[in-house]
Amino acid sequence: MNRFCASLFLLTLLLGGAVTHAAGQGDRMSLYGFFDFEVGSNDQVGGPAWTFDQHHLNVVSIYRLDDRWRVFAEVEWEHGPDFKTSGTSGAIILERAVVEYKHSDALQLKIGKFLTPFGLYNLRHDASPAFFSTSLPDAVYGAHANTLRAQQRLFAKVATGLQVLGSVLGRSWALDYYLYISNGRGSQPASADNNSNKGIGGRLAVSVLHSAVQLGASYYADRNGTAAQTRQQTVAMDATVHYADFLMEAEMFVPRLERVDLAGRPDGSFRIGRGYYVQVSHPLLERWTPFGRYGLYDPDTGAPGDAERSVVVGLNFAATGAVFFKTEVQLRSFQDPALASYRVWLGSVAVAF
Amino acid sequence: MSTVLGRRVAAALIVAIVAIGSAHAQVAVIVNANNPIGDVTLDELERLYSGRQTAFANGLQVALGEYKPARRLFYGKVLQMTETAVSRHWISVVFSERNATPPRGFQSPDDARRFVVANLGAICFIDLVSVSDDVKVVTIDGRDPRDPKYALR
Repeated sequence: MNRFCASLFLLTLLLGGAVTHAAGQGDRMSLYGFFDFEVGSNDQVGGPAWTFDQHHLNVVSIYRLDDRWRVFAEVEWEHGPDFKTSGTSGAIILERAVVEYKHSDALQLKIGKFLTPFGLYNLRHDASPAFFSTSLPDAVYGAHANTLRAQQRLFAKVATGLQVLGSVLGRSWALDYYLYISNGRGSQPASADNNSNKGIGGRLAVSVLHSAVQLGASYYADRNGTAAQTRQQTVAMDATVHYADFLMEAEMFVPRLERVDLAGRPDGSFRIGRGYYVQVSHPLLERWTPFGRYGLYDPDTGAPGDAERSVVVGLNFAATGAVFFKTEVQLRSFQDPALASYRVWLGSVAVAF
Repeated sequence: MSTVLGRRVAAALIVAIVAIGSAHAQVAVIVNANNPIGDVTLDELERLYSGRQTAFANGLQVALGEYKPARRLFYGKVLQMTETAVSRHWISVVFSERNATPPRGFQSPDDARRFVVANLGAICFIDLVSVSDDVKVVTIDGRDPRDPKYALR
Protein backbone atom coordinates (compact mmCIF):
# COMPACT_ATOMS: atom_id res chain seq x y z
CA MET A 1 0.00 0.00 0.00
CA ASN A 2 2.81 2.40 0.77
CA ARG A 3 4.03 1.97 -2.79
CA PHE A 4 0.61 3.08 -3.92
CA CYS A 5 0.81 6.15 -1.69
CA ALA A 6 4.29 7.06 -2.85
CA SER A 7 3.27 6.52 -6.46
CA LEU A 8 0.22 8.71 -6.03
CA PHE A 9 2.33 11.48 -4.55
CA LEU A 10 4.95 11.26 -7.28
CA LEU A 11 2.29 11.04 -9.96
CA THR A 12 0.66 14.20 -8.66
CA LEU A 13 3.93 16.10 -8.67
CA LEU A 14 5.12 14.74 -11.99
CA LEU A 15 1.78 15.21 -13.68
CA GLY A 16 1.60 18.73 -12.34
CA GLY A 17 5.14 19.43 -13.47
CA ALA A 18 4.56 17.89 -16.86
CA VAL A 19 1.42 19.89 -17.43
CA THR A 20 3.02 23.03 -16.09
CA HIS A 21 5.84 22.72 -18.55
CA ALA A 22 3.75 21.63 -21.47
CA ALA A 23 4.00 24.06 -24.33
CA GLY A 24 1.64 26.98 -23.96
CA GLN A 25 0.14 25.74 -20.69
CA GLY A 26 2.57 27.23 -18.21
CA ASP A 27 0.07 29.79 -16.97
CA ARG A 28 -2.84 27.36 -16.81
CA MET A 29 -1.52 24.93 -14.24
CA SER A 30 -0.46 26.07 -10.79
CA LEU A 31 0.84 23.95 -7.96
CA TYR A 32 0.78 25.08 -4.35
CA GLY A 33 1.11 23.27 -1.09
CA PHE A 34 2.06 23.35 2.53
CA PHE A 35 3.97 21.24 4.99
CA ASP A 36 3.95 21.35 8.73
CA PHE A 37 5.72 19.53 11.50
CA GLU A 38 4.76 19.76 15.14
CA VAL A 39 6.24 18.93 18.49
CA GLY A 40 4.20 18.96 21.65
CA SER A 41 3.82 17.82 25.19
CA ASN A 42 1.27 18.13 27.95
CA ASP A 43 1.12 17.53 31.65
CA GLN A 44 -2.21 15.72 31.58
CA VAL A 45 -2.10 12.46 33.50
CA GLY A 46 -1.44 9.72 30.97
CA GLY A 47 -0.85 12.24 28.22
CA PRO A 48 1.94 11.81 25.70
CA ALA A 49 5.34 13.25 26.50
CA TRP A 50 7.31 14.98 23.76
CA THR A 51 5.50 13.91 20.65
CA PHE A 52 6.63 14.68 17.13
CA ASP A 53 4.00 14.85 14.43
CA GLN A 54 4.57 15.20 10.72
CA HIS A 55 1.10 16.60 10.49
CA HIS A 56 0.42 17.79 6.95
CA LEU A 57 1.85 17.54 3.51
CA ASN A 58 -0.81 18.97 1.22
CA VAL A 59 -0.51 19.60 -2.50
CA VAL A 60 -3.00 21.84 -4.27
CA SER A 61 -3.24 21.79 -8.05
CA ILE A 62 -5.25 24.36 -9.94
CA TYR A 63 -5.86 23.97 -13.63
CA ARG A 64 -7.41 26.93 -15.45
CA LEU A 65 -9.22 25.85 -18.57
CA ASP A 66 -9.91 29.50 -19.42
CA ASP A 67 -10.94 32.69 -17.66
CA ARG A 68 -14.18 31.13 -16.45
CA TRP A 69 -13.48 27.46 -15.67
CA ARG A 70 -10.93 25.93 -13.35
CA VAL A 71 -10.38 22.65 -11.51
CA PHE A 72 -9.13 22.86 -7.92
CA ALA A 73 -7.88 19.75 -6.15
CA GLU A 74 -6.06 19.16 -2.88
CA VAL A 75 -4.50 15.91 -1.74
CA GLU A 76 -3.46 15.59 1.88
CA TRP A 77 -0.91 13.23 3.41
CA GLU A 78 -1.61 13.52 7.13
CA HIS A 79 0.44 12.19 10.04
CA GLY A 80 3.08 10.55 7.84
CA PRO A 81 0.85 7.86 6.35
CA ASP A 82 2.23 4.36 6.41
CA PHE A 83 -0.03 1.49 5.47
CA LYS A 84 2.67 -1.11 5.14
CA THR A 85 3.29 -1.83 8.80
CA SER A 86 0.84 -3.82 10.87
CA GLY A 87 -2.20 -1.72 11.49
CA THR A 88 -2.37 1.67 9.87
CA SER A 89 -1.23 5.15 10.66
CA GLY A 90 -1.87 8.49 9.11
CA ALA A 91 -4.26 9.22 6.30
CA ILE A 92 -4.30 10.12 2.63
CA ILE A 93 -7.30 12.27 1.86
CA LEU A 94 -8.68 13.87 -1.23
CA GLU A 95 -9.43 16.96 0.79
CA ARG A 96 -11.03 18.92 -2.01
CA ALA A 97 -11.83 18.42 -5.68
CA VAL A 98 -14.09 20.91 -7.42
CA VAL A 99 -14.88 22.29 -10.81
CA GLU A 100 -15.52 26.01 -10.64
CA TYR A 101 -17.33 28.25 -13.05
CA LYS A 102 -16.88 31.99 -12.64
CA HIS A 103 -19.48 34.09 -14.37
CA SER A 104 -18.09 37.12 -12.55
CA ASP A 105 -16.66 37.95 -9.13
CA ALA A 106 -20.27 38.31 -7.99
CA LEU A 107 -21.48 34.92 -9.25
CA GLN A 108 -19.55 31.68 -9.18
CA LEU A 109 -20.49 28.02 -9.00
CA LYS A 110 -18.62 25.08 -7.50
CA ILE A 111 -19.39 21.41 -7.98
CA GLY A 112 -17.59 18.68 -6.10
CA LYS A 113 -16.06 18.16 -2.68
CA PHE A 114 -15.19 21.37 -0.88
CA LEU A 115 -14.36 22.73 2.54
CA THR A 116 -17.51 24.24 3.97
CA PRO A 117 -17.39 28.03 4.19
CA PHE A 118 -17.98 28.15 7.93
CA GLY A 119 -16.53 30.81 10.21
CA LEU A 120 -13.21 32.53 9.80
CA TYR A 121 -11.04 29.45 9.51
CA ASN A 122 -12.72 26.45 7.94
CA LEU A 123 -11.93 27.42 4.36
CA ARG A 124 -8.22 27.32 5.22
CA HIS A 125 -8.69 24.69 7.87
CA ASP A 126 -5.43 22.77 7.58
CA ALA A 127 -3.33 25.44 5.90
CA SER A 128 -1.26 26.22 8.97
CA PRO A 129 1.05 28.75 7.26
CA ALA A 130 -2.03 30.96 6.96
CA PHE A 131 -2.63 31.37 10.68
CA PHE A 132 -0.61 32.36 13.71
CA SER A 133 -1.20 29.47 16.06
CA THR A 134 -0.35 25.79 15.66
CA SER A 135 -3.84 24.71 16.59
CA LEU A 136 -7.09 26.30 15.48
CA PRO A 137 -9.42 27.73 18.13
CA ASP A 138 -10.90 24.47 19.31
CA ALA A 139 -13.92 26.02 21.02
CA VAL A 140 -15.35 26.39 17.51
CA TYR A 141 -13.21 24.15 15.30
CA GLY A 142 -12.40 21.28 17.64
CA ALA A 143 -14.23 18.01 18.14
CA HIS A 144 -16.75 17.93 20.98
CA ALA A 145 -19.05 15.29 22.42
CA ASN A 146 -22.40 14.98 20.69
CA THR A 147 -25.57 13.68 22.32
CA LEU A 148 -24.32 10.12 21.80
CA ARG A 149 -21.12 11.08 23.66
CA ALA A 150 -19.06 10.60 20.52
CA GLN A 151 -16.56 13.24 19.46
CA GLN A 152 -17.39 15.23 16.34
CA ARG A 153 -17.07 18.71 14.88
CA LEU A 154 -20.24 20.73 15.27
CA PHE A 155 -20.47 21.41 11.54
CA ALA A 156 -19.24 19.47 8.53
CA LYS A 157 -15.61 20.27 7.73
CA VAL A 158 -16.08 19.14 4.13
CA ALA A 159 -19.15 18.74 1.95
CA THR A 160 -19.89 17.20 -1.40
CA GLY A 161 -22.45 18.96 -3.52
CA LEU A 162 -23.11 22.31 -5.14
CA GLN A 163 -22.10 25.75 -4.00
CA VAL A 164 -23.00 29.22 -5.25
CA LEU A 165 -20.77 32.02 -4.09
CA GLY A 166 -19.50 35.44 -4.95
CA SER A 167 -18.27 38.84 -3.88
CA VAL A 168 -20.49 41.83 -4.42
CA LEU A 169 -18.24 44.86 -4.45
CA GLY A 170 -19.28 48.36 -3.50
CA ARG A 171 -17.06 51.40 -3.68
CA SER A 172 -15.69 50.91 -0.19
CA TRP A 173 -17.28 47.68 0.99
CA ALA A 174 -17.65 44.08 -0.09
CA LEU A 175 -20.21 41.39 0.60
CA ASP A 176 -19.06 37.78 0.31
CA TYR A 177 -21.74 35.13 0.18
CA TYR A 178 -21.70 31.33 0.02
CA LEU A 179 -24.68 28.98 -0.25
CA TYR A 180 -24.40 25.24 -0.61
CA ILE A 181 -26.26 21.96 -0.57
CA SER A 182 -24.51 18.66 0.06
CA ASN A 183 -24.95 15.04 1.06
CA GLY A 184 -24.31 16.04 4.63
CA ARG A 185 -22.42 13.81 7.01
CA GLY A 186 -22.68 10.05 6.74
CA SER A 187 -20.79 6.88 6.08
CA GLN A 188 -19.99 7.83 2.47
CA PRO A 189 -20.44 11.59 2.41
CA ALA A 190 -18.55 12.09 -0.85
CA SER A 191 -20.47 9.51 -2.85
CA ALA A 192 -23.88 8.81 -1.34
CA ASP A 193 -26.44 10.37 0.95
CA ASN A 194 -27.74 7.90 3.51
CA ASN A 195 -30.81 9.86 4.53
CA SER A 196 -33.44 12.06 2.97
CA ASN A 197 -32.09 15.27 4.45
CA LYS A 198 -29.49 17.29 2.64
CA GLY A 199 -26.71 19.16 4.36
CA ILE A 200 -27.28 22.85 3.76
CA GLY A 201 -25.35 25.89 4.79
CA GLY A 202 -24.18 29.32 3.97
CA ARG A 203 -22.06 32.23 4.98
CA LEU A 204 -22.34 36.00 4.64
CA ALA A 205 -19.48 38.37 5.38
CA VAL A 206 -19.41 42.13 5.02
CA SER A 207 -16.07 43.93 4.86
CA VAL A 208 -15.31 47.61 4.92
CA LEU A 209 -12.21 48.53 2.92
CA HIS A 210 -9.39 50.49 4.61
CA SER A 211 -10.88 50.13 8.07
CA ALA A 212 -10.48 46.33 7.64
CA VAL A 213 -13.53 45.49 9.68
CA GLN A 214 -15.35 42.33 8.73
CA LEU A 215 -18.53 40.90 10.16
CA GLY A 216 -19.74 37.45 9.22
CA ALA A 217 -22.39 34.87 9.91
CA SER A 218 -22.39 31.15 9.09
CA TYR A 219 -24.95 28.37 9.23
CA TYR A 220 -24.80 24.63 8.81
CA ALA A 221 -27.54 22.01 9.19
CA ASP A 222 -27.93 18.34 8.38
CA ARG A 223 -29.20 15.06 9.73
CA ASN A 224 -25.90 13.57 10.83
CA GLY A 225 -25.51 10.08 9.43
CA THR A 226 -22.55 9.44 11.70
CA ALA A 227 -24.58 10.30 14.82
CA ALA A 228 -27.71 8.13 14.60
CA GLN A 229 -29.32 10.48 12.05
CA THR A 230 -29.76 13.19 14.65
CA ARG A 231 -30.65 16.63 13.40
CA GLN A 232 -27.85 19.14 13.98
CA GLN A 233 -27.77 22.87 13.31
CA THR A 234 -25.03 25.36 14.10
CA VAL A 235 -25.11 29.13 13.80
CA ALA A 236 -21.96 31.22 14.11
CA MET A 237 -21.14 34.91 14.13
CA ASP A 238 -17.67 36.34 13.64
CA ALA A 239 -15.90 39.67 13.68
CA THR A 240 -12.47 40.72 12.50
CA VAL A 241 -10.86 44.06 13.20
CA HIS A 242 -7.53 44.89 11.61
CA TYR A 243 -6.28 48.29 12.69
CA ALA A 244 -2.70 49.55 12.40
CA ASP A 245 -1.27 45.99 12.45
CA PHE A 246 -3.44 45.08 15.44
CA LEU A 247 -5.65 42.12 14.62
CA MET A 248 -8.60 40.92 16.63
CA GLU A 249 -10.66 37.91 15.64
CA ALA A 250 -13.70 36.73 17.54
CA GLU A 251 -16.27 34.04 16.86
CA MET A 252 -19.29 32.83 18.70
CA PHE A 253 -21.34 29.79 17.80
CA VAL A 254 -24.46 28.04 18.97
CA PRO A 255 -24.80 24.32 18.15
CA ARG A 256 -28.21 22.71 18.43
CA LEU A 257 -27.98 18.93 18.59
CA GLU A 258 -30.90 16.52 18.71
CA ARG A 259 -30.91 14.17 21.66
CA VAL A 260 -31.47 10.41 21.46
CA ASP A 261 -33.73 8.15 23.48
CA LEU A 262 -32.62 5.09 25.43
CA ALA A 263 -32.71 3.05 22.24
CA GLY A 264 -30.34 5.50 20.61
CA ARG A 265 -32.97 6.97 18.27
CA PRO A 266 -33.48 10.74 17.75
CA ASP A 267 -36.12 11.86 20.26
CA GLY A 268 -37.05 15.29 18.88
CA SER A 269 -35.61 17.32 21.77
CA PHE A 270 -32.47 19.41 21.38
CA ARG A 271 -29.39 20.21 23.42
CA ILE A 272 -28.21 23.77 22.87
CA GLY A 273 -24.60 24.68 23.48
CA ARG A 274 -22.45 27.73 22.94
CA GLY A 275 -18.85 28.47 22.30
CA TYR A 276 -16.71 31.48 21.58
CA TYR A 277 -13.17 32.71 21.40
CA VAL A 278 -11.37 36.02 21.11
CA GLN A 279 -7.87 36.20 19.68
CA VAL A 280 -5.63 39.25 19.50
CA SER A 281 -2.24 39.68 17.86
CA HIS A 282 0.17 42.44 16.96
CA PRO A 283 3.43 42.04 15.03
CA LEU A 284 6.70 43.24 16.51
CA LEU A 285 9.51 44.16 14.11
CA GLU A 286 7.29 42.84 11.27
CA ARG A 287 8.27 39.16 11.54
CA TRP A 288 7.48 38.38 15.19
CA THR A 289 3.83 38.14 16.08
CA PRO A 290 2.78 37.37 19.65
CA PHE A 291 -0.82 36.33 20.05
CA GLY A 292 -3.24 35.45 22.80
CA ARG A 293 -6.58 33.68 22.77
CA TYR A 294 -9.33 32.97 25.24
CA GLY A 295 -11.97 30.41 24.38
CA LEU A 296 -14.91 28.74 26.06
CA TYR A 297 -17.16 25.87 25.08
CA ASP A 298 -20.32 24.97 26.95
CA PRO A 299 -21.91 21.82 25.50
CA ASP A 300 -25.28 22.34 27.18
CA THR A 301 -26.45 25.75 28.29
CA GLY A 302 -29.25 24.05 30.25
CA ALA A 303 -26.81 22.11 32.43
CA PRO A 304 -24.55 24.04 34.81
CA GLY A 305 -20.91 23.30 35.43
CA ASP A 306 -19.95 21.54 32.21
CA ALA A 307 -18.03 24.26 30.34
CA GLU A 308 -14.37 24.06 29.40
CA ARG A 309 -12.02 26.97 28.91
CA SER A 310 -8.73 27.45 27.16
CA VAL A 311 -6.19 30.24 27.32
CA VAL A 312 -3.51 30.24 24.65
CA VAL A 313 -0.42 32.43 24.53
CA GLY A 314 1.98 32.08 21.66
CA LEU A 315 4.49 33.53 19.25
CA ASN A 316 4.72 33.26 15.47
CA PHE A 317 7.97 34.04 13.65
CA ALA A 318 7.98 34.54 9.88
CA ALA A 319 11.46 33.44 8.80
CA THR A 320 10.39 34.33 5.26
CA GLY A 321 7.07 35.04 3.62
CA ALA A 322 6.57 31.28 3.37
CA VAL A 323 8.31 29.72 6.38
CA PHE A 324 6.78 30.18 9.82
CA PHE A 325 7.94 28.98 13.24
CA LYS A 326 5.36 28.85 16.01
CA THR A 327 5.21 28.13 19.68
CA GLU A 328 2.33 28.30 22.13
CA VAL A 329 1.25 27.33 25.62
CA GLN A 330 -2.35 26.31 26.23
CA LEU A 331 -3.94 26.29 29.65
CA ARG A 332 -7.04 24.11 29.71
CA SER A 333 -9.50 24.06 32.58
CA PHE A 334 -12.98 22.75 33.35
CA GLN A 335 -15.91 23.89 35.42
CA ASP A 336 -16.40 20.32 36.57
CA PRO A 337 -14.17 19.97 39.67
CA ALA A 338 -13.72 16.28 38.90
CA LEU A 339 -11.72 17.17 35.81
CA ALA A 340 -8.18 18.40 36.35
CA SER A 341 -6.85 21.32 34.38
CA TYR A 342 -3.71 20.78 32.36
CA ARG A 343 -1.21 22.55 30.14
CA VAL A 344 -0.18 21.84 26.58
CA TRP A 345 2.93 23.10 24.84
CA LEU A 346 3.10 23.09 21.05
CA GLY A 347 5.79 24.11 18.62
CA SER A 348 5.72 23.81 14.87
CA VAL A 349 7.18 24.84 11.57
CA ALA A 350 4.79 25.54 8.70
CA VAL A 351 5.96 26.01 5.15
CA ALA A 352 3.92 27.18 2.17
CA PHE A 353 5.12 26.40 -1.33
CA MET B 1 43.13 70.41 -4.58
CA SER B 2 42.56 66.83 -3.57
CA THR B 3 40.36 68.06 -0.69
CA VAL B 4 38.15 70.06 -3.07
CA LEU B 5 37.91 67.10 -5.44
CA GLY B 6 37.09 64.84 -2.55
CA ARG B 7 34.27 67.15 -1.41
CA ARG B 8 32.84 67.28 -4.94
CA VAL B 9 32.95 63.50 -5.23
CA ALA B 10 31.27 63.18 -1.85
CA ALA B 11 28.60 65.72 -2.83
CA ALA B 12 27.99 63.91 -6.13
CA LEU B 13 27.66 60.61 -4.27
CA ILE B 14 25.16 62.10 -1.83
CA VAL B 15 23.10 63.54 -4.71
CA ALA B 16 23.21 60.18 -6.50
CA ILE B 17 22.15 58.29 -3.36
CA VAL B 18 19.31 60.73 -2.71
CA ALA B 19 18.24 60.49 -6.37
CA ILE B 20 18.28 56.69 -6.27
CA GLY B 21 16.44 56.72 -2.97
CA SER B 22 13.75 59.06 -4.22
CA ALA B 23 13.42 57.09 -7.47
CA HIS B 24 12.79 53.92 -5.47
CA ALA B 25 10.33 55.82 -3.35
CA GLN B 26 8.11 56.57 -6.33
CA VAL B 27 6.16 53.76 -7.85
CA ALA B 28 4.16 53.68 -11.07
CA VAL B 29 1.33 51.30 -11.85
CA ILE B 30 1.55 50.01 -15.41
CA VAL B 31 -0.78 48.06 -17.69
CA ASN B 32 -0.57 46.70 -21.20
CA ALA B 33 -0.44 49.48 -23.80
CA ASN B 34 -3.56 48.04 -25.49
CA ASN B 35 -5.61 47.97 -22.29
CA PRO B 36 -8.18 50.79 -22.54
CA ILE B 37 -7.94 51.39 -18.78
CA GLY B 38 -6.26 54.70 -18.09
CA ASP B 39 -7.09 55.26 -14.43
CA VAL B 40 -7.68 53.12 -11.37
CA THR B 41 -8.86 54.12 -7.94
CA LEU B 42 -6.90 53.32 -4.81
CA ASP B 43 -9.88 51.25 -3.67
CA GLU B 44 -9.74 49.28 -6.91
CA LEU B 45 -6.01 48.65 -6.45
CA GLU B 46 -6.73 47.39 -2.95
CA ARG B 47 -9.41 45.02 -4.23
CA LEU B 48 -7.20 43.77 -7.08
CA TYR B 49 -4.08 43.19 -4.99
CA SER B 50 -6.03 41.55 -2.18
CA GLY B 51 -7.56 39.08 -4.66
CA ARG B 52 -11.08 40.24 -4.00
CA GLN B 53 -11.57 41.65 -7.51
CA THR B 54 -10.23 39.63 -10.44
CA ALA B 55 -11.28 41.71 -13.43
CA PHE B 56 -10.93 45.32 -14.50
CA ALA B 57 -14.00 47.51 -14.63
CA ASN B 58 -14.13 46.80 -18.39
CA GLY B 59 -14.39 43.05 -17.73
CA LEU B 60 -10.84 42.15 -18.71
CA GLN B 61 -9.42 39.42 -16.44
CA VAL B 62 -6.51 40.68 -14.37
CA ALA B 63 -3.03 39.16 -14.17
CA LEU B 64 -1.22 40.66 -11.20
CA GLY B 65 2.49 41.42 -11.18
CA GLU B 66 4.76 42.91 -8.57
CA TYR B 67 8.26 44.37 -8.73
CA LYS B 68 9.72 42.95 -5.53
CA PRO B 69 11.95 45.88 -4.52
CA ALA B 70 8.85 48.10 -4.50
CA ARG B 71 6.65 45.74 -2.47
CA ARG B 72 7.12 47.47 0.86
CA LEU B 73 6.08 50.89 -0.38
CA PHE B 74 3.25 49.66 -2.61
CA TYR B 75 1.62 47.30 -0.11
CA GLY B 76 2.11 49.74 2.74
CA LYS B 77 0.17 52.38 0.79
CA VAL B 78 -2.41 50.21 -0.96
CA LEU B 79 -3.19 47.40 1.50
CA GLN B 80 -1.76 48.97 4.67
CA MET B 81 0.10 45.70 5.17
CA THR B 82 3.69 44.65 5.70
CA GLU B 83 5.31 42.37 3.14
CA THR B 84 5.04 39.42 5.51
CA ALA B 85 1.34 40.09 6.08
CA VAL B 86 0.77 40.26 2.32
CA SER B 87 2.51 36.90 1.84
CA ARG B 88 0.38 35.38 4.58
CA HIS B 89 -2.74 36.92 3.09
CA TRP B 90 -2.11 35.32 -0.31
CA ILE B 91 -1.44 31.95 1.30
CA SER B 92 -4.93 32.32 2.79
CA VAL B 93 -6.44 33.35 -0.53
CA VAL B 94 -5.01 30.35 -2.39
CA PHE B 95 -5.96 27.77 0.22
CA SER B 96 -9.40 29.31 0.74
CA GLU B 97 -10.27 28.36 -2.85
CA ARG B 98 -10.75 32.02 -3.70
CA ASN B 99 -10.63 32.18 -7.48
CA ALA B 100 -7.74 34.63 -7.69
CA THR B 101 -4.12 34.14 -8.73
CA PRO B 102 -1.33 35.59 -6.58
CA PRO B 103 0.89 38.27 -8.12
CA ARG B 104 3.87 37.08 -10.12
CA GLY B 105 6.99 38.52 -8.53
CA PHE B 106 9.83 40.05 -10.52
CA GLN B 107 13.22 41.03 -9.27
CA SER B 108 14.05 43.05 -12.36
CA PRO B 109 11.96 45.89 -13.83
CA ASP B 110 12.71 44.58 -17.33
CA ASP B 111 11.03 41.25 -16.47
CA ALA B 112 8.08 43.10 -14.92
CA ARG B 113 7.63 45.17 -18.09
CA ARG B 114 7.93 42.10 -20.31
CA PHE B 115 5.16 40.46 -18.26
CA VAL B 116 2.90 43.45 -18.83
CA VAL B 117 3.73 43.68 -22.53
CA ALA B 118 2.92 39.98 -23.01
CA ASN B 119 -0.44 40.00 -21.13
CA LEU B 120 -3.36 42.18 -22.16
CA GLY B 121 -4.86 41.97 -18.66
CA ALA B 122 -1.62 42.48 -16.76
CA ILE B 123 -1.12 45.13 -14.13
CA CYS B 124 2.13 45.66 -12.25
CA PHE B 125 3.92 48.22 -10.15
CA ILE B 126 7.52 49.24 -10.80
CA ASP B 127 9.85 52.15 -10.11
CA LEU B 128 8.81 55.22 -12.01
CA VAL B 129 12.32 55.54 -13.48
CA SER B 130 11.97 52.07 -15.03
CA VAL B 131 8.87 52.89 -17.06
CA SER B 132 9.29 52.70 -20.84
CA ASP B 133 7.09 53.46 -23.85
CA ASP B 134 5.96 49.87 -24.42
CA VAL B 135 3.66 49.98 -21.35
CA LYS B 136 1.00 52.41 -20.16
CA VAL B 137 1.20 54.20 -16.83
CA VAL B 138 -2.24 54.50 -15.27
CA THR B 139 -3.24 57.37 -13.04
CA ILE B 140 -4.52 56.66 -9.54
CA ASP B 141 -7.68 58.54 -8.61
CA GLY B 142 -6.92 60.80 -11.56
CA ARG B 143 -3.42 61.69 -10.39
CA ASP B 144 -0.24 61.23 -12.41
CA PRO B 145 2.87 59.84 -10.63
CA ARG B 146 4.46 63.29 -10.88
CA ASP B 147 1.54 64.86 -9.02
CA PRO B 148 2.58 65.80 -5.46
CA LYS B 149 -0.63 64.19 -4.19
CA TYR B 150 -0.08 60.92 -6.06
CA ALA B 151 -1.05 58.04 -3.77
CA LEU B 152 2.14 55.98 -4.14
CA ARG B 153 4.68 58.58 -3.09
